[in-house]
Amino acid sequence: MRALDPVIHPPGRLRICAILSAADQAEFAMVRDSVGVSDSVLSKHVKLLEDAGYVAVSKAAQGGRQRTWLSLTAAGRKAFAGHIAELQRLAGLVSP
Amino acid sequence: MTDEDNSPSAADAREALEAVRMVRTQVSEQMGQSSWRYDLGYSGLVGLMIAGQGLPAPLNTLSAAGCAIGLVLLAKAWANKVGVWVSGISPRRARWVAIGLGGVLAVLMLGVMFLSRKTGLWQVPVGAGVVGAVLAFVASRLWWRVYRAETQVRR
Repeated sequence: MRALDPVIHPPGRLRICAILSAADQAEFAMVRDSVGVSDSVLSKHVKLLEDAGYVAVSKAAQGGRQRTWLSLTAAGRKAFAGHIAELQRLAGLVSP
Repeated sequence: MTDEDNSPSAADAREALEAVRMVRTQVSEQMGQSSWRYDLGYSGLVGLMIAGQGLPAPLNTLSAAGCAIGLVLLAKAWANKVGVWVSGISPRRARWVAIGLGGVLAVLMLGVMFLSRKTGLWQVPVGAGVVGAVLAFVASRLWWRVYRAETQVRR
């Protein structure tokens, strides 16, 4: 039986993964604003996801400043899809 | 205490799924705000790329290369504006819209190259360019619809 992924499960990280799973890459500031957290909180979440091998971080210069882009790795996409499937199973099991 | 006891309730699971749905909707609305302008620029460049195949060599190659560079710059500018990069070949079903459009446009370009040389009529590349631009615009809007539908999560 599948289980919920403890790295993805906290609401902030679940939202981050939800954004990244719908795109090839998302910019740090856009993710921060969409999730509604501070730079430092997002950085901590991203570090945990990166350490788990779920998120890749890249930097690109644009207009004279560095922009940070985030993307889900193949392992991250698989883990997120499994996590969503498990949530859907739980939502359907208890309340048919 | 068992593992089952630690599982979220159905209400918790539904709440988490709703949070996922909401954040994705928010992002897709943000992306959609400037998508019309992107689609117009995109379809214009595609139309020029097709019509340019009626030019004599090497101008046709140069025009195709120029339009291809324009498309890359347009996509990069749009990604920087909205903060999201979507390649067009993901997710799965939206990919087939992009691949289908690419196939149709390739046929149009080859058709223009062949018919322009055969007939010498300027109306051939111009007409095909207009048709290609309209097709690109329609396919681009369709891609958005499929993308939005596919990135939503069932509740």
